[in-house]
Parts: sequence; structure tokens; C-alpha cells
Amino acid sequence: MIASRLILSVGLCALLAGSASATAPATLPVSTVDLGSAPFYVQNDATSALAGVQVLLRAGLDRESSAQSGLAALTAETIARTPVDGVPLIDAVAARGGTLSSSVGPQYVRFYLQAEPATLATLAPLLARAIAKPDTSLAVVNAARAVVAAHIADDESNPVSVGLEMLRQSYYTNGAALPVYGTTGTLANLTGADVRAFMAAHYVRGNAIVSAAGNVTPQVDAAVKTLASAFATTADAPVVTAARPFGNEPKEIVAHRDIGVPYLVIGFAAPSVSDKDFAAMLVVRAILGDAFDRPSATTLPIISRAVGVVYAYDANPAELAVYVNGSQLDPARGLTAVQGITSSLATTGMNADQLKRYKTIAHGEWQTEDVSIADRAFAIGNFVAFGAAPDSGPRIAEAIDAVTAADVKRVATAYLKRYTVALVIPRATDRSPG
Amino acid sequence: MRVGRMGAALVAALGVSLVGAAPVSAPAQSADGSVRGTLPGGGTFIVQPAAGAPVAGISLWYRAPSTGFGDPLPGMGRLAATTIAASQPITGTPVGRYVDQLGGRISVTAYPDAVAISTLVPADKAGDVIRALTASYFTPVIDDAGLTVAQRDLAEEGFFRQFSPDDVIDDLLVNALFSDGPARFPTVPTPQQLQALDIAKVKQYAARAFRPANAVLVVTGAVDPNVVESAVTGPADAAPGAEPALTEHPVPQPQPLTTNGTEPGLGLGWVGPAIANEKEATTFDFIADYLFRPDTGIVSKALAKSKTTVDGKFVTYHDPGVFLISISGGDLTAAKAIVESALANVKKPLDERTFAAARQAFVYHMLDDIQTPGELADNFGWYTVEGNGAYAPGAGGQRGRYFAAATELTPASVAQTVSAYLDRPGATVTVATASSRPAAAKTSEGAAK
Repeated sequence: MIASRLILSVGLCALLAGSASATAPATLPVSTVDLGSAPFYVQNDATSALAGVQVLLRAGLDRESSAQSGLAALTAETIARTPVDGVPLIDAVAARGGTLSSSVGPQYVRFYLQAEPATLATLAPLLARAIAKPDTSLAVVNAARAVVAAHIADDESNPVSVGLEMLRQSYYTNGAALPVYGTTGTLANLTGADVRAFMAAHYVRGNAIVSAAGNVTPQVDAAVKTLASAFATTADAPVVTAARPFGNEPKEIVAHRDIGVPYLVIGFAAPSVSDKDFAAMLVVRAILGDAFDRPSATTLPIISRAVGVVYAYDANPAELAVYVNGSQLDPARGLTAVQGITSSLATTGMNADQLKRYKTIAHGEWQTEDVSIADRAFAIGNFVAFGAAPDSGPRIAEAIDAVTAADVKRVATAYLKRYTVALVIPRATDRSPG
Repeated sequence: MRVGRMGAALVAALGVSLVGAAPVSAPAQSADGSVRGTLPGGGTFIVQPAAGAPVAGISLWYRAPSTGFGDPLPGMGRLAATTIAASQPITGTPVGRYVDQLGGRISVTAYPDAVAISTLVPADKAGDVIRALTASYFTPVIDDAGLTVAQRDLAEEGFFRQFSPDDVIDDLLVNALFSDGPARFPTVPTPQQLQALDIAKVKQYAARAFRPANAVLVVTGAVDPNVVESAVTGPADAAPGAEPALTEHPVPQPQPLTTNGTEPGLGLGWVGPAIANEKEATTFDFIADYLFRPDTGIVSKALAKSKTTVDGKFVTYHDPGVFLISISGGDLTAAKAIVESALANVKKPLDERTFAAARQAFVYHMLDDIQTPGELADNFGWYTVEGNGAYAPGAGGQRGRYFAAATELTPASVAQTVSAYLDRPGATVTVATASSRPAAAKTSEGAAK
């Protein structure tokens, strides 16, 4: 019996001490290739079967006027629908074994091209050709318009998307506040001439940040050079996007949609990726994301989560949104609980155990945030776009480890005391208390 | 009950401590950089280091019938694996919570013949997670609290699943295709089936299904191959050997099935090639991709502007595989005509140019589907438990057997293989809403209703 106890204790020590740590391969560096006109940021992994190239272009929502709402998306989609050998570019890329996608954010539009390296080298010139000479005929623009309109419909049925758009409209002062895909009304009025003018003004080389991940061979380098040269060398006027100041009392916005359950979305200002407080805000994100879920055996799917957090750091000023899933938690109770946590973080702060716990979660969430080639190419470009070094990923992980309780308290005080509430409720339903 | 848990914990600790230091045996490095070998307690390990993100995909796969080892207990595989993730092991923290607290993700997936526990974690925690996973599953501690949490998880999963027409139809199709075996039952139990799974049955199942010798541990990502040494051995008295691969028994003439659902739908299903028939299995992957891949498939694009959703897949089970098509929403009659026309067209050889482009796109899609550590780990795990690990698309990269089989496909061989299987009697399923239910044939026995 004594022997057994001794063995047990040794076994427990071995278990609790953790295993021998793995010697992980060194983090892949990000190098800068001179394209002659614009820098090209590359995280090369020669073992990867695929490569992905991203162009982040300063031609996002904040370039739109109210009457042009939807123009950034329509322009990107027109490029994707421009015929190549008689086939829309997006289909031509797919038929050759690749993927072309685009998305629009508050300040940037993103094009992403992925394929096997040799194929990518043949696809990038096709994208270059469509950018240099888009087909803005009525037929192509109408085809693009139909795709954008479908996105409007999709977003309208997603309560989180609706809430995030409402918050963004309340948060930013310029076109960055406009709906990503416009409205059916504004979209219907946009023409091929609008697309051409938008491209002439904003699709210029100085607005482009080009990044790549995966197996970026010399062939891909050369193709990217061709792609970068597709943009005009003319200058673009700068635009400054700012956030509206929050009032002393929370602003509340209500919208009705054809959804099953109410959602409440709370929007806070947040530091950008290059801000010294970014890491501390990632710890706050971990706290808010972890605080409400019921006990579960495995990671809960989004639909089962009571509360989710979206950190929109693809813009500056950035925004942090917390949404309450009405099927899991009463929105009014959720709001009270979020207020309780943010207030506590700003006043009482965290003890050492809490801090350690949430730093570990934040560190892990950050490490697992950008895993695919597309996500890694995005992260590099996004860092550069907002003033951080292209290889900021590991540094931010280290910064999370160094966050102190005082950092969290300072960030909570600076960012979480004022907010806007968006309530998305099913049509023909009484408004919930909020 | 409390004493029982303590007893189990003691056994677990002793088992681990007595033999936990044994090294893994005979690792062998492949040309693609993967390392394979045998775990100290039996079972297989595969490590595939990969650069890229600082993460590790770690999966434990088991060949284990989802309905248990005796009389059918639908949902047993998923419930048992989920319960272990929620139960408190000797190390103190349930493994599900442990992974979450590292900022990682963990999930349990069940198939008729297999159960998988998959994680994505920071690479520098890979060793700790391997230790926690193997300690939790090789010597399972199952407690009441864990069972309660798992039951709630599965009840919620079952609730949401009824709103997924694809899942409802796929479950019914495999139910119709086979005469017996676990494929006749959904892996997510109904509330009534869940009630029948008590803790004693869960423990009995877990002890056999999750024993070390039956495990396939897959580790991918930014890890060193020796990270697998973190795996514990497990109990010294665990049964040796792995479970045999499951051979299902197709019915010669599947009967049409009908059920009620939240959205009208149709299903078409056929028995396909076994995983050992690499060329034919690859043919069906190719056809599923060519016709049904979202955004690019011929049928998917034809229906893109309609209100109909179509899903088509080949599932590479041990023997036989299954080819399943689900159609839901919108004008089902028109959509079915498009699907049937597309199927008729692939029974004839595609023209060389179309075929070459389709195959190039297929190869790209396969590579895209295994690009992250998590995807790669599950890919290795699936093909290994189904009995042909060397055929996994991740094995050997583009010089491996899977892509070699893709290269060997020709328009004629594809047409011949498709005809050989799809000209046989297939299963048909009709899902009606309460107001539109047709006077249809037999209702399924085991599948969700």
C-alpha cells in the first residue's frame, strides 16, 4: 500500500509537471521583396503545396459617398466578373485550379488569389489584366450587381451581421459607416462609369499592399510583379477615417429583421493592431468570450454560444463588438452581465490567477487565429496597413504574455466605459427591454 | 459512485505511472517527412511536421462502431467520447476544458464506424495536449457530471441537426442502403435513444473503444516528431490489438424512404467502391467535386440562382463507400432533373479538355482541403481507421498514392466506373414538411424521424 501511494505520487507529479516541450520549427520569417514600385511581403513556406497572394487596396468603404454606397463592392465584383477568354475571371481562375475572392472593409478592399505555385504564376496576370482593363459594360456590371445584391440579402438574414453594420454606421464619421454592399436603392443607381471613376481614383499603386504566404516561388514573385504593375501610378488623395465620440449615455439602435431570435450587439472603441494596448485588448476579448458559455464538453459551436466577441482590427479606429445570442441568453440580462464585467475590469481589475488564465487563453486564441494560407497573407497585409511590422504575429503573442493587470484596467477604463447598443429583433415582435 | 470514481482514478494513475515512461517504438520517417510508428501501449501514431502557423492539429481516431459493440445503441460512440471530454480525470481538469483554457479548440466527431477527437492548439502546447488527450482517453474516467454535460451537448446538437436537411437526408440514405450495422442509425441520438445510454454502458463501451491499442494518434503542424513521446502508455491490462475494420452489408434493392422535416427535400444514394479500390474511390471523389463542390461544381453552379441547395459527396468508408446527394428547398422537381442530367452526362466520357480542367481543379481542391494542420490531422486519421492510411491525400503529398490515382483517371475510366456503380439500384429519400407530406412508401426504422 505504501509503495502504491509512492508510485501514485510520482505518477501524478509526472502528469502535472507537463510533458517535455516540443521543439517547434522556427517561426517562418516575413521577407520584403522590392517590386520596383511597391513592397511585397512574403512568408515563404517551400513545403506548402499552395501559394496565396493578397492585394490589400486602400479603396474601401471610406472612399464612398452616401450616394455611392455599395460602389467599392460593385467595383471588386466587376473585376471578378470581367471576362477572360470569354469567361468571367472568377470562373476562369476556378477552371484553371485556383480561387479568387474579394471582400470589402471600412478602409480596404481585399483581393486574394490562391493556387499551386505554377498555376498561380499564370493566374496573377489574368487578375492584372482585369484590374488594368475591367469590363464595365452594362452586362458585366449587372452581373456584378446581382452578386452584390445577393450578399445584401444574405447579410440581412444574419443578426450578427446586421448588428455589426448598425454599430459601424454609428461609429465612423465618413463612408466607413456605410453598408458593405450598399442598399438595393443605391446599388441600382451605380453605373459602369461610376466603377471606372472609382478605379481611376483609388486603384493606384500607392494604395496597394501586396502580401503572400505558402510556397512563394520565384515564378510567383514574377507574377506578382506583373500584378502590381496593373495599378496606375497616379496619386490618390488621402482620406482620414475617424470615430464619432461616444455619448455619456449608451446610444441604443433597434432594427427588425426576419430572424428567429433577438440578438443584442454592444460596440466599443478598440485599439488598432499597432497600438500598445492591442495585446491587452486581446486579453479583454478572451475574458468577454469566456465568461458566459455554459459548461460544455468540447468547444461550443457559434450557434450554441451565449456571447461572442468580434474584434474588428481590420480598420483604424478599430472596434470591439460583443453579441448576445437571444436563443441562449436573454439580451437584457446579457447586457447587464457585460456591463458588470467591463465595469469590474475598469474599477476592481483582475487578480493574478485570473490574469494568468485569460492571458493563456488570449495567447492561444491569437496563435490559432490565422492558420490557413489566406489568413496568414491577410494578417501580414493587415499589420502593414495599420502601421505594424509585417511580422508582428509573434511579437503580439509575446506582448500578450507581458500584459499586466494594470494594462487590462487601463484598457477597460479607456475603451469599455462607453458603448453603443444595437438590438436586432424579429419582425412583429415586441421590443425586448434593453 | 464517489468511491468508484476514486477507484478508477487510482487505477488510471497507477497504470500511467508504472508504464508511462516507455518510449514509442520503431518510428519510421517517410519521404514526405511524416513519422509513423507504434505507441507504447499499442496503437498507431503519425506525425507530420509542417511550417506555417504556430499551431498543432492533434487528433485521436478510433475504429469503433457508433452504436456500440452489441445490440444497437444509437449515439453511443459520440456520447462516450463527449462524456470523457467533460469528465474530470486524475489530472484534475476535463480535457475539453483544458484545451479551451489554452485558447485552443476541441471537437468530437462520430461516424458509423469511427470516433474522432480533434484539437487545434498552440504548437508550444502540443506535448501537453497529447499527454492530456491520451491520459483521458486511454484510461477513461467517466463521471456523472461529465455524462450530464455530454447529454446536454448531444441533445442540443440533435435539435439543431433537424434543421439541416443535408444531414437528415444523408442519415436516411445510408439507412436505406444497408441491411444492418451502425450505418442504419444517425450518430447523433434522438432524445429517446439518449435516455437509453446509461453510465454503465458508456463506461463499458469506452473501455473497449478507446483502449490504447485501438488508437490512431495524429499530430501535425509546427511540431517536432519527438513530441509524440508525450503520449502516455495507458493501463497495463488494456486489451491488445485494434478493432477490425467494419464491412457493411448493402441491401440488393433499397426501398424508398420518406420522413417529415423542416424543409422539403430529396435524396439519392448509391453504394460505391471500398477504400481499398483506390482508383475507383478517387473517381467518385472526382465526380463529387466536378458536380457538387460549392461555387464551382457543375450542378452547384446550375442551381446557384435558385432557392435550392444541393450537396453531393462520396464518403470513403472501408467497404463499401457511399455516394450521397441531397437536394432541399426551392423547386425540387427541376433541381432533381438537373442532378439526373448531370449524372447521366458523367456516365459518358467527358471531352478531353473539360476533363483535364476538371481534374486540375479537383487536385487543387484536394490540396486546399488539407492545407491546415487540423485538416491534415483529420485526413490522416480518417484514412487510417478506414483501413488505407497510405492512400490518404496528405500522405506523400502530390507524389502519394491518392494523387497518383487522380493522375491515372481518364474520361473513359471515369465514365466506366460511374456507370458501374450508379446503374445499380440506389436509395431514394423524400423529406416532406408536415403540410406537404406525400403518400409515400416506407418510413425509416433507425434513422431520425
